[in-house]
Amino acid sequence: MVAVMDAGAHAVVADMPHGTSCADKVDAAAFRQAMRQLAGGVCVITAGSDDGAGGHAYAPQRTGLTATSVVSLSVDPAELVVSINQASSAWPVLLAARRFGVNVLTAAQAAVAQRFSGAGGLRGAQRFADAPWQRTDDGVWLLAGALAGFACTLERTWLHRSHALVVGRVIAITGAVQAPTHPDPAGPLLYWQGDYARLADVSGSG
Amino acid sequence: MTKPSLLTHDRFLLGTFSSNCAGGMTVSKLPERWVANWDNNLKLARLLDDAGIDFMLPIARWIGYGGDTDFHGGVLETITWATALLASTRNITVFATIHTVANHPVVVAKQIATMAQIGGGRVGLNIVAGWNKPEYEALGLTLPEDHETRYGYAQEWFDIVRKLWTSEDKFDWDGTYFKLHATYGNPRPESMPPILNAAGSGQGRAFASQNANFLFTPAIDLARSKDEVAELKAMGEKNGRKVDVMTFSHVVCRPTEAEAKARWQEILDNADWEAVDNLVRLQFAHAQSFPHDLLALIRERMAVGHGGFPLVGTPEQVADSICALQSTGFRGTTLSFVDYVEEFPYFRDEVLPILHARGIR
Repeated sequence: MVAVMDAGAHAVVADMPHGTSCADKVDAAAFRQAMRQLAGGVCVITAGSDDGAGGHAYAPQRTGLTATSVVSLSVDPAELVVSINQASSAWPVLLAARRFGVNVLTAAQAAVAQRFSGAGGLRGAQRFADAPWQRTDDGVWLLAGALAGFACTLERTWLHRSHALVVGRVIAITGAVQAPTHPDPAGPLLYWQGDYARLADVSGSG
Repeated sequence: MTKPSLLTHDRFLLGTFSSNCAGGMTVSKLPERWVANWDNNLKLARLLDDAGIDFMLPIARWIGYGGDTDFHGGVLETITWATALLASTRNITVFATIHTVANHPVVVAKQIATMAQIGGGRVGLNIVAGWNKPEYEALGLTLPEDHETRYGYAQEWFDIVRKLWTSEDKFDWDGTYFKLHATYGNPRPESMPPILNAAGSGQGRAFASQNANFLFTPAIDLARSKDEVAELKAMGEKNGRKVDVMTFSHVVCRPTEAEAKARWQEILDNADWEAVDNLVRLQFAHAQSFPHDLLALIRERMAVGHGGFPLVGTPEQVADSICALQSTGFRGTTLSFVDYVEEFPYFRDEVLPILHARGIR
């Protein structure tokens, strides 16, 4: 096992003088408003590797969160990066399980995205209801019918301020592999300007 | 005198739990199950003390859970156990676990003050307001059905203890449950011992947030625990107090993941299921410590580690899980092993250095 968790945020902010903000402070609201212009593909990150039926009682209980912060990092080996808020309820579970799933949602799966964003106060395994979740042999929960699913092991973590940058080594891929030339007609689920969107919303009318 | 070390360290706290009880935390028929005699406890205490482990926490029990092994049928009494351990160690904090209804507050205040002298301020007090009905019957006592009465009594009990520890004058006490005339505490501890409470109910948690330094609660599902811990800390802050949350974990650490999982299964295969089910039934009937909707999962974890968070795998994986508990917001965890003395040295040699390298110890 090569993965190493950095000891604490203080260890990785050395490149920022005094570990505080830049001299010319940018207004937080302005930054948020500017970042709202960046459209993102919506993913659900799953963590926890219990079998969902009371077995594997030693395994961390599954949960997950909705994120747009998924980026490809390396092709060989296949690795991706996810940015996760350390205050999220899924973060300690991901750390304990050391594996996670990345599910790229279709525009028809907005309800799944909402469950995993904590709508209605849903917590943990409750977020997995009403959708065809399947557990891989490696103990990663992936959504059948997603545009793509990546089962990952936790390769490396950097803690930076409120967030953790997580590098996942991809150990299995579902979805896109089976139907590379027939993309889902619903298209990808996007998040833009604080709301869910689909490609047709921004390019189809006119 | 300085404040108790448990309240001043900033590292992630580690202790052991239930080494004074037959079987420890594992409801098992395995022949190597924990024998809770004095020799074993003394051996363990010295190993822990030398390794820099922070504390030992006992469970106070008066009858066992039945089954083939009568799990927790044999238990060392915690005031005498802790006193002897304090006299035999140098740095480790040792808790006594006290049922408020079975122990008079004036007596307990003096016992703990005596232990504070013996241990140089290393004694802690774990307050039990009562939950286990058959145990109350064995003591000839009636467990109040409502949590208001249990904690109303506990509050008055602890108010008296605290006053005896802090007041230099004689005082009269005219309360609902106690009428005391011209009472006083001498000796008194030089600083307040760390107070721990494992309340599960709303009333109990209000009590803990007003009186305890540490609230002790199970970690069944870390996603839920993250919210729960944040709420509990906020409740303490609302009362102007710093209240930390600790949990308990059971360790099955082996060189490979496959060996650790096989050992988990072996423990399950040799569980004393009748005792497990008695334990689960009593916990669910009279206490609110465990979430009731995760019964199947909890039953298995009850068998292996009395409901403790599983630390199962290689040393690296066990360290990962301890880091996960820390990032959940827990201030520390207890550890238990099937055979504490046999298994702790591997944890000490393989897991503690990883925790140290990661900066949480």
